[in-house]
Amino acid sequence: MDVTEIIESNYSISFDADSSTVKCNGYFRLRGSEEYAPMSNMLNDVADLKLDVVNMDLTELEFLNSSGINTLSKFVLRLRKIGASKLVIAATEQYPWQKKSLRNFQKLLPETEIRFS
Amino acid sequence: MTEKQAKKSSCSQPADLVQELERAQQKIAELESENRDLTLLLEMTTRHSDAVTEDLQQDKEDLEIMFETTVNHADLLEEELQQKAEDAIKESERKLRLIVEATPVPILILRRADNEIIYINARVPTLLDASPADILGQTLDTYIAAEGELQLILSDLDTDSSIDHRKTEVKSSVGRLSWVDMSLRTMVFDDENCVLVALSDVTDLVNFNIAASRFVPSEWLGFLQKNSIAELELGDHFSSENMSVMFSDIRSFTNLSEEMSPEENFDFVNEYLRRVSPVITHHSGMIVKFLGDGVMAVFPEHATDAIDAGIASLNEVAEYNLSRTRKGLSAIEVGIGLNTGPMMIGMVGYDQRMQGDAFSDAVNLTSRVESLTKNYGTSFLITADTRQSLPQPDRYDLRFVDRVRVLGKRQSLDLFEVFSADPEPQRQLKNETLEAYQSAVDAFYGGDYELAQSQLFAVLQKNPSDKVAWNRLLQVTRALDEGVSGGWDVTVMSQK
Repeated sequence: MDVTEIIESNYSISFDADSSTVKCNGYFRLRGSEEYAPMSNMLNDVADLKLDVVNMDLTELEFLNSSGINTLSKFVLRLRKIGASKLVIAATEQYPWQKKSLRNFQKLLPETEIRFS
Repeated sequence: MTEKQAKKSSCSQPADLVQELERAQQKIAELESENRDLTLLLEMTTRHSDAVTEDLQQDKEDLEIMFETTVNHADLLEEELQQKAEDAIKESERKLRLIVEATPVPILILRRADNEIIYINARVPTLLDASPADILGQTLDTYIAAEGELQLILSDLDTDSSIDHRKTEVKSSVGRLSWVDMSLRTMVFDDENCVLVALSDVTDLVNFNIAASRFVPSEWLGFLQKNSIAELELGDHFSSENMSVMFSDIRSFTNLSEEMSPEENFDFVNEYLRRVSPVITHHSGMIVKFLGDGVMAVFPEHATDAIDAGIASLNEVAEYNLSRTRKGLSAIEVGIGLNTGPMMIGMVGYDQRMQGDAFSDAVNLTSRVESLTKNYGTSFLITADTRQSLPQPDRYDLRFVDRVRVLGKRQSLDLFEVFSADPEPQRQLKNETLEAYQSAVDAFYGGDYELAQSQLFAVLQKNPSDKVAWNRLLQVTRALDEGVSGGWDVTVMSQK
């Protein structure tokens, strides 16, 4: 994997190989798939690793815009298509959108587990 | 051709048939094989097509899911943001109310469309003598004393979008009036175009200024180029080369007052001043000060104002006397002296206590002139300087009285009597005898005392009450008796 983290002033996304965890923090407010491309590429690389379990830590992701959820959706879809990994999402009830929007990922990849803290 | 084939073709028919059959069977076998291949191919193609369709179907489903995911998420965000925006507006309005409530000045907000008061702070009910329930829903016009004033203020606001220090009178629900200093701002409140109005009660200040103007008239402030008495400084002054000054007082006031108690004195003086003071201001004069039973006034503009004021005062006194005699009180006599010349009006005293006054030689002289009215038996004396300042002296009933000089000074001045306010019979007689009188005067100063005497006899025969003429006659007689010496024809005034 080339890029394992993208850190900006108000958001960051990183992949920790030891724990197989993708961590998303802050405010995902980029515009369109063009701006999300670096993130998209990184997530593609994670999917291609064909890990048994992929963890996604969204507990510190306060805000996710439409293009952002689209990018994550594509990641989940890729996981299904590659077919090697199970997805476990760590979510928080602190940010109301997570309770409502994350379950859609289960429609894309039925083996997705969402754990709320 | 093989041997077998040659044999066949040339002879036996059964052998041909068998051969054909064999060939036919071979063909069938070939066709069956082909058929199997095609079937297989069809199967393969169908399977592939199904697989592709299944993939596409899956992709379609995935896209639908993703689409729904994104759209639902977007809706969610939109809702959240809308809520946040509404909350922000509410919060900012809450803060506004907090600030308005905390401000110790009456503040109200009115709807621009119909001037209806939609919000007030706790100070407003006190100002308007009404409860909030009564005030809210009223238009602000209800509480502005001057009709139509609010419209004027608001149209000014349209041009400037903010107004400060607009003074206007407010009328409370019980009709109580207050002066307010208004500030107005346009704003959006509760989604409507509104006006924020802050009212600072300046009634006390305004009332104080009004009260102050009763002690230091606003014209006085104007001359000293000050806006309020608070700005007056010791030494402030106004000079003019040509101002008229008038002294007036009640003759034999001391005698009169002896007969009255202090309270009666007090009431008497005020009654008198109440009558004559407005006459002065009415003729563009300024009362400098009250001197017991008298008044010192200046007339900055025209000497005619001063003479008119003098005549009007005497008329006023005549009327006053009518009411006095009706009540069995003695009539009062008033003397007026008037002079015109350079003088200065200003603030005199000391830092902690000062008053307005007028200064110059011309002023001092006028006081002396006034006191001479008694000596000459006339009510109203003016100096030559005043007479010269008149554009049309003939408009008035004037005649020369005497030439006088203050003891110690070299310059003499001529005094004239204004008898326009004399009782009508007197006035007429004086006019009728004016020619004879004038020639008597001319004769006297020309040294022809006999002529003077005979002219005066003629005058006095017609008008025995003419005290001025009597005085002149006295002088003529003295001249005839005692003889003359240089410069003695000038009456000397001693220093007061």
